[in-house]
Amino acid sequence: MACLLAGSLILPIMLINSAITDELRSSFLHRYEDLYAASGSELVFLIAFVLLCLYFLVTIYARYWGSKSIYTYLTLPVGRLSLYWSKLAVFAISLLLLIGVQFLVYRLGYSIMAGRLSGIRLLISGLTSDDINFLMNNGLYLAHVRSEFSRILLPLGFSRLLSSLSLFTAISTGLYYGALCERSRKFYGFIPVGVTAYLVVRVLLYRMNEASHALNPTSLYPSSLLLLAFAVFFIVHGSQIIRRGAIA
Amino acid sequence: MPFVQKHAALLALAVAVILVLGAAIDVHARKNDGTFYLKDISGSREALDGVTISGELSDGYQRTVFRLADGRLDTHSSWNGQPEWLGTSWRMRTGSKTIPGRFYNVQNEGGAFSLSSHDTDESGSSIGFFKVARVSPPLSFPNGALYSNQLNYGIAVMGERVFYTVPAAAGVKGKSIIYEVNFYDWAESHFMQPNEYESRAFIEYSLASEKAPHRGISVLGLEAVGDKLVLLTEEDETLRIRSYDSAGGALLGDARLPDFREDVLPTSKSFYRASYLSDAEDQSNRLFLRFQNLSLTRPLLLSVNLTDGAEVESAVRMTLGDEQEEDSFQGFTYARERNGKLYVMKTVREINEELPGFYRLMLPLHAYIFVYEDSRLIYQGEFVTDLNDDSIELATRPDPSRGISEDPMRYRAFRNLAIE
Repeated sequence: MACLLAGSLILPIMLINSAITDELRSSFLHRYEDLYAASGSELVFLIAFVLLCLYFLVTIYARYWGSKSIYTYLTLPVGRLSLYWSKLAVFAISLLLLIGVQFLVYRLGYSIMAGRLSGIRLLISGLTSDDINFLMNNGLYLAHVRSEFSRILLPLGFSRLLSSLSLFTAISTGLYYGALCERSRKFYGFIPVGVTAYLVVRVLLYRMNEASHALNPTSLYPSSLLLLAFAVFFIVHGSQIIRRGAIA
Repeated sequence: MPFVQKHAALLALAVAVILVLGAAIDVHARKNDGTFYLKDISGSREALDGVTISGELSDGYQRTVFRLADGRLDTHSSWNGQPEWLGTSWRMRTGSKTIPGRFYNVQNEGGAFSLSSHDTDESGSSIGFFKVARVSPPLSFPNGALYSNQLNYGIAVMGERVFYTVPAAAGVKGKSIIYEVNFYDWAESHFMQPNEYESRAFIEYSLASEKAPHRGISVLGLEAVGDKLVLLTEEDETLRIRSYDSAGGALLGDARLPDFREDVLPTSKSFYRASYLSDAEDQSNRLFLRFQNLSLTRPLLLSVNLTDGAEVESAVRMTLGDEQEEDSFQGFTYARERNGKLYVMKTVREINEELPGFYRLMLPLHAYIFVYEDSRLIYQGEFVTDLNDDSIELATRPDPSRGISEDPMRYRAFRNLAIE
């Protein structure tokens, strides 16, 4: 877990740094949000996100392998619900931590770019940082507001906040619910999980390209409410499965 | 250490929340960190008393709304949850003006002039079938004399009524007529009798100069202001502005601006380009005109009051700064007459002759406010903003062959200007 977070912090910064080096070599300076996307840092986040989900699944299944601690947990005289919530909370916190690290990366990357843009001379046009200021005024703000990726993680406005929150809850509860269904042999549970996955992908595709949907924007409220409804179902049914001990 | 182990989850949650909330608070706090202030260049800011200049500097993602009332500037920045489509900065113009939702095209088809009306959508592109009309004025074109302007400068639109006159150059003989044009569906025209699609001759005017009848006049264009038609001609080195009643066609006013010469493609510095721009303010019955000169550094601004006849209220022969020119790419000029003064907001681009053509388009734009009283400059100020920062990526581009972007989603521009 710690390795994952450290990797998602260090790797993008190295990528951003090398992307800036490339830019200075080619004398073509992108805006920071474009540079960030082009450096591959968004991909690193995606990979880290997937790895975190896999790691979460592994911790669930690890209770059945080896120590078989799940049977101990289920027989302990504590509420089985706390088992459900603690597992879910740990996963949610880990995801949140990953997102938080992403903001740290965004910020550090910007500082690195700002530092390296002073005192340079471009090879082809011959412009130097004395002629023109290569850094946008208030650029970090603009990079946040103008980057589709950043606006998913740091939503602007209530509808986007609701959408991001519903994505977050639907992904975390859906993944856990899927695993619980598999353990309790309730395979019909994969249907709502599949529908949710489809919705999540659709919403993400839309929000990764919001600028190109500007002419015919879609309201995000229906998808957000639907995702939240699924999340509530996952929690209710998932905790029921645990309470009945069906996963043993 | 036992404490950390015991509360690891809570600590992790705290760190995560601090990181996320910190980023959110940080971005929110930087919202108003952009540059936006008014710099006085000449004159006293008292010239701005009693007037409100408002608008926004925006791109698809965010905007800064500004309001300059009595010389005091307020700005407010905000972002868009859903990026906004702001239309292309390039508009289909009909002659000197942009007609919302429509544009007109005119062609000469063997003596007759064929007009077409196109509906446009938000993005400015043509949609659907178009309508056509045809007029055949009794004109003859001797000695190569042809037109003094693009043909669609002769179109004036007043609600559903469309008027047209041919922008004939000096030397064209015959009778010039302002038609009220009758448009019909292009697809149906094959089944119509000629008299069904004839346009009505509405107003006749002479193509000979009043002072020296052997010399002709150049018809520059036709404009509509409220319920009046305005005919612009150049005769005897003056700009003649005639106002007609659109109900009966009576001549209401006749004004002249002395010392005015124009040409389609001027060769001398003292000539203005015929392709002027106009902006009609219907409720105050005013017409604002802008002519450019050859070098794009000495524009002529006119405000014409048509309330009672026709009167040239302000005639400003502007002189831009030494290393500045009008920007025909992204520049704009917005003028209004208030409290007996002419208020002008205008963007001007810096010139650097040493730079190759492509890089000149990324030279800084300056947004100025000019105030004129009796056609004399009494105040000049500049809105200092971060507008030019968006062009940094162009400035550093080594290969101009890929062209440059004017994507309104990514590039800030002044929009929704109003002078009250």
